Amino acid sequence: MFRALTRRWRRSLAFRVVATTLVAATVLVGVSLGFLLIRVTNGLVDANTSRSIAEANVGLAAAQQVVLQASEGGPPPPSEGLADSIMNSLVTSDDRGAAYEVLLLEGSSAADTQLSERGTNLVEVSSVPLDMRTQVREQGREVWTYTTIQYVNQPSEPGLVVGSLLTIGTETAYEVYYLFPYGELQGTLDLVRSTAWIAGLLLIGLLGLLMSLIARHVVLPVRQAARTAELVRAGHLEQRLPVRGEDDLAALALAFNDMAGSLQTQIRQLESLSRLQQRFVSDVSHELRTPLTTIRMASDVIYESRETMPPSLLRSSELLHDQLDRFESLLADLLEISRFDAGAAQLETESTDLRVVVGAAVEAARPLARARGCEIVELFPDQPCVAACDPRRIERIVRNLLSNAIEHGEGHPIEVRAAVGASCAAVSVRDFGRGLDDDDLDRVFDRFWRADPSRVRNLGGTGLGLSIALEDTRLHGGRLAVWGRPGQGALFRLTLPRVAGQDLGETSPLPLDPTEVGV
Amino acid sequence: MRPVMVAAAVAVLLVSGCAQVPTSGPVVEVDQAVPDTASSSFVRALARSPRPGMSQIEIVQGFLDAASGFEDGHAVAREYLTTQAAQTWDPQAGVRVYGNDTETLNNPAEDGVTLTAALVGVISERSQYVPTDEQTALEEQFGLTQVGSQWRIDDVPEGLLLSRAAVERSYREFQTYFVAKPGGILAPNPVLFARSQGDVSTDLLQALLQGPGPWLEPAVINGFPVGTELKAVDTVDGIVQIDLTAAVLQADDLARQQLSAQIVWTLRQVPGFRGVTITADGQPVTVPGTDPIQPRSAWADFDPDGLSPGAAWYIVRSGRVLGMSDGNGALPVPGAPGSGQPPVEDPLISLDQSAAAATDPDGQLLTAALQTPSRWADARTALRSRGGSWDRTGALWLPDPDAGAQMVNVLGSQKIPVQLDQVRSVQISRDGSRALVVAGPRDAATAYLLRVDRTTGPPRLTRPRALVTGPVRAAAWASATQVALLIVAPDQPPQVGSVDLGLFSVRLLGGPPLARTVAAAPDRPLLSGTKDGQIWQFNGNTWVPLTQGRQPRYPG
Repeated sequence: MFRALTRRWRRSLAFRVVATTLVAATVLVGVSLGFLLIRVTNGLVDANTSRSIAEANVGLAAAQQVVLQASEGGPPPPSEGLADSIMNSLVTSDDRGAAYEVLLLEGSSAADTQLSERGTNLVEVSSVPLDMRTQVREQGREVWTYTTIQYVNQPSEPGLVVGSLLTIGTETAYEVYYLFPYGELQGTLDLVRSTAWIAGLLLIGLLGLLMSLIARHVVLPVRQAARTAELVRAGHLEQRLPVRGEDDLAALALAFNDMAGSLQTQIRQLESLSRLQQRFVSDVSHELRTPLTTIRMASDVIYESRETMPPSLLRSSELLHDQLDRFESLLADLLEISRFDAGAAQLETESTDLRVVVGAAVEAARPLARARGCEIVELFPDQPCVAACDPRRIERIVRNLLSNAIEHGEGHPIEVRAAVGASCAAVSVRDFGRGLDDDDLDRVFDRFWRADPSRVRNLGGTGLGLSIALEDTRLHGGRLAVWGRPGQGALFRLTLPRVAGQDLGETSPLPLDPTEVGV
Repeated sequence: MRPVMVAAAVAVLLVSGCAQVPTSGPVVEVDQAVPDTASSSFVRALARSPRPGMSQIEIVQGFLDAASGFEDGHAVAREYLTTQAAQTWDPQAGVRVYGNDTETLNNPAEDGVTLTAALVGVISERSQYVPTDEQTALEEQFGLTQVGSQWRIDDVPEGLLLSRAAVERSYREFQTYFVAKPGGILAPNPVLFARSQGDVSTDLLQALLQGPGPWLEPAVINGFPVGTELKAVDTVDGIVQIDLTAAVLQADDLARQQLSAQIVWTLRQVPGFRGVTITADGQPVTVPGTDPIQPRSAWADFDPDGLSPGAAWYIVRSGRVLGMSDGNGALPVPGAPGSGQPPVEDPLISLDQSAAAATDPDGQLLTAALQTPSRWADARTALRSRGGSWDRTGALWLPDPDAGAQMVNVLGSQKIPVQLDQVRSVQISRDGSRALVVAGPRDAATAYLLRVDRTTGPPRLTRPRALVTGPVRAAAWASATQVALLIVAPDQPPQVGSVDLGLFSVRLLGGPPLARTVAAAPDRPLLSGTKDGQIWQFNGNTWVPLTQGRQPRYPG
C-alpha cells in the first residue's frame, strides 16, 4: 500500500499537488478549528464558572446567617434540626428544578458525636474529589474545582464544585459543597465540536476537489506534450501541440513546435541528401556501364589476338583484360549496393537445403583454392539443413566468405560447416590464416575496407563483398557474425531463420568461437 | 467569474453575521406544557456507615439516622445490624414517627439500648400518615452483640422509626381520588411514597384498587368493582396503558365514569402524564362520555376543589351582607341578606351562591335566597350560624355545643352526634366527605378531622383525628387537601396555620392582630376578620388590611 502510494507520488504531478495541498489544508484547518474550539470552550466554561461561584457565595452567606442566629447564646448543638435549617438556607426554595446540587457533609465533630449529613436529589458524595475535601477541612478556605458529578442510578455529568467550611462550634464544622452540573454546557460544546469537525472535513474535501481540478488543468497539456513527443520520436514528424492562450503552457507548446519543425526540416534535408547520393551512385554506375561495355568489347578483341602481338603489348593486353574484368565486377557490386541502399532489393525465398547451396559455392571455389594450395573441408551433418531463403544470394554470401578465406588462408585448410537448429540454420567458414585483431573485427564489414591495404589483390575483390554479404543477410533477417584472432585465423558465421520473417533469437546452431569447443 | 465572486463575498458576510444572539423576532405563543409537579428538587439525608469504635448508643443512633436513607432498600441502615438481623428486618412493615428531638437513648445493660420518644404518628401499610393522640410514648428495645470488635444490633424492632423531620424530608405526598358520596365529585385520600422511588404510576393505581382505607371508606365510593386487580401498566410517550382483570367489566356506566375520573385525576400527579387507556384482559373498556384515550383534561367536573371561578367572598357591614369581587368592590348581595333588614351577622353562603344563612339580633337563624327579591325565613332551629357551613347537597351544618352538630336541610333539622365535647365549629369539606370540627374550651379548643359517614341513613361525623396545633379559634377548608386554622394562644399573637392533611404538617403564616375568624377557598387568598372590624388578606408573604367589615366568608 505504502509502495503504491510512493509510486503514485513519483509518477503523477497531479497527485503530488493534490496530496501536498490536502496535507497543508488539514494542518491549517486543524490548527484554526482547534484554536476556535479552545477559545469557545474556555470562554463558555469561564463564564459559567464565575456565575456558579457567585451563586454559591449567596447560599453560603445565607447559611452563615442561619448559624449565627442559632448561635445566640453559645454554639448550637449539632442536631438534625440544625442540619435541616442549614440545608434550607443553602437550597433555593422555589420549585424551578435545581440548577445546582448541595452536599452538607461532616467536616469535624466532637468526640462521640456524628453530624447528620444532607444532600439534594440523588447526588453522591463521591462527586467531591477527596483532595478537595481534605483542603476544605484542613484549611477552611473556599475553593473550587472541576469534577464529575455522580448520581444514584443516573448518568453522571461534568460539573463544577465549590466547597467551603461552615464552623458551628470550636470542634464542629460542616463542609458545604455546591455542585453545578455542566451537562448542558457540555452538550453545547459537543455541538460546536461536531459542527467544527463537519465543517473542517467539508472544507478539506472541497479543497482537495478544487486542487485536483486545477492540477488536471495544468497536467493535461504536459501529458499531451509527452504524447506528441512520443509520436514525433516514432517518426510522425508532422505532429504539433495546440497553442492556447499566452501563458507558460502556450510558450512550451510554441517552443516544442519550433523544435519539431526544425527537426522535421533537417531530417527531410538529410533524407533528400542521402537519396541524392544514392541516385548519383546508381546513375554513375549506369553511365559507366555503357562505355565500359564498349571498352570491354574492344579489349576482348585485343585479348583474343594477343598471340599475334609483340611481347610488350601482350602484357598490356592481359592487364587491360584483367582490370576491365575487375572494373566490371566492381561496377556490378556498386550497382548491387546501390540497389540495397535504395531499398530495391527483392528476396525470392524457397525452401532450400543449405548443404546443397553451400556445396555449390564450394565447388565453384575449388579451382581457386587448389591454385592457392588450400584445401576446403566440408563438414555437413547428415540431416538436411532446410531453411527458407534465396539460394542465389546465399550462394553469393558463401562464395564471398570462401574467397576471403582462401585469400587470407595462407595455404591452410578451410573448414566449411553447416548446421540446423530448431528455429534457425547456420553456415560457417573457418580459415587458419593471418587472423584478425579487434580493430579489424570492428571494421571488417565496412565498405571498401581491406585488412591489409598493401596486399596485392589478385582475386578481383572489390572491397564491397562483405558489405553485400551483410546486406543479403539483413534481407533474410539473419545475422552475419565474425570471429578472429591474430595467428589463429578467422571464422565467419551466417545464421538464418528457418522460417522467413521469424525472429532470430540469440543462439545459433554453430559456435562462433571455434576455440571454445576445441575445434 | 465576476458574479460568482460577488455572490461568494456576500454569502461569507451573511454567514459571519449569524454568530450573534438575536435581539428581535416574531412573538410566539407558549405551549402550555404539563407542569412538572412531582420532580421538584428535594433534600435527602445521607446515611452514614458505622465507623469502627462506635459505642452501643452510637450504633443505635447511627441506625436511627440511617433509617431515612431509603436507597437500595436501606442498605446503609442494614450495615448497623448483624447479618442475620439484616436479612430478617423488614423496613416496609410500617413506620412509626416520633417527634423531632424527643428521642433519648439509654444503655442500661451492655448489650441493650432503649429508645424513648414521643410518638406522633404512624405510616400505615396503606402508606397513609395517621397522627396518634397526644401523650403517646414510644419505647423500643435494641439488642446488641459484638461482631469482631464492633457492636452491631441483632435484635431490631419491626419496621422503621423515623423522626417527623425525616418523614417530611423522605416522603412525597400524593392523592388518590375516590368519589365522594353521593357522587359527582372526587375526594382526595393522601398516600405517602418515599422520594427515592422512581415511577409512582403503578403504586398509585394499586392504592386506588386497594381502596381508601377504613377511615375514609364510609364517606366515599370506589368505582372499581370488588376483585378488580391491576395486570399491567405501560407508559408510552405519556399515555398510560392500564390493563385490569376482567372484573372491571362488571362496572356499569356510572361506575365506569367514576373509576375513569379517579384514574385520570390520580395520574395527573405523575410528571409527563398526557392520557390513559383502560383495558380489561386486553380488551378496551368503553366508558361513555369520553374518548378511548382519556386525556389529562378529562372529567373536569369531578374536581374536588370545584368552585365557580371568580367566586366572590362575602362580609358583613352594618348588618348587611356584602359581596366582594375583584374590581367591583363591596356590593350588597341581592335579596334580603343585602338589605340589612334586619341587620344580621355570621353570614354563611351556600356553595352555589344561591342562598345565605345568618343570625339576626335575637339569635335566630335565618335563611334567604340570594336573588331579588327574597325574604328571610326562619330556619326553625335554636342554633346560631356562627361556626356553621353549607355542604354541596344544600344542607346547612351548625355546631351544637351540647350534642355535637345539627344538619338543617329541606327535610328539617337533624341532630348529628359527634364524639367531641363543646363543638364550636363544623366545617364540611366542599366535596362533602370530611368535616373539620373545632371542639373544646374556648381558649383551648382543638381542630379535628372527621369523616362524613354516609353509608346509611343520615350522615354521621365519626372517627375524629386531632390536628395538633395550639388552641384553635376558627377553621376553614383551604382546599380538599389543606385546612387553615386560626391559632390563638394566650399571650401570643394570632397565627394562621396551614395544615396539610397528608403529612399533617403545619405551616405558620402569621396573622393580623386581634384576628377572630378565618376564611379560605381553593386558589383564593386567605382572609381573616379581626375584633376591631377589619378584614385582612394574606398575599402570600404577609397579611395586609383590606377593608372594613366582619366575618369574611367564602361560599361553603
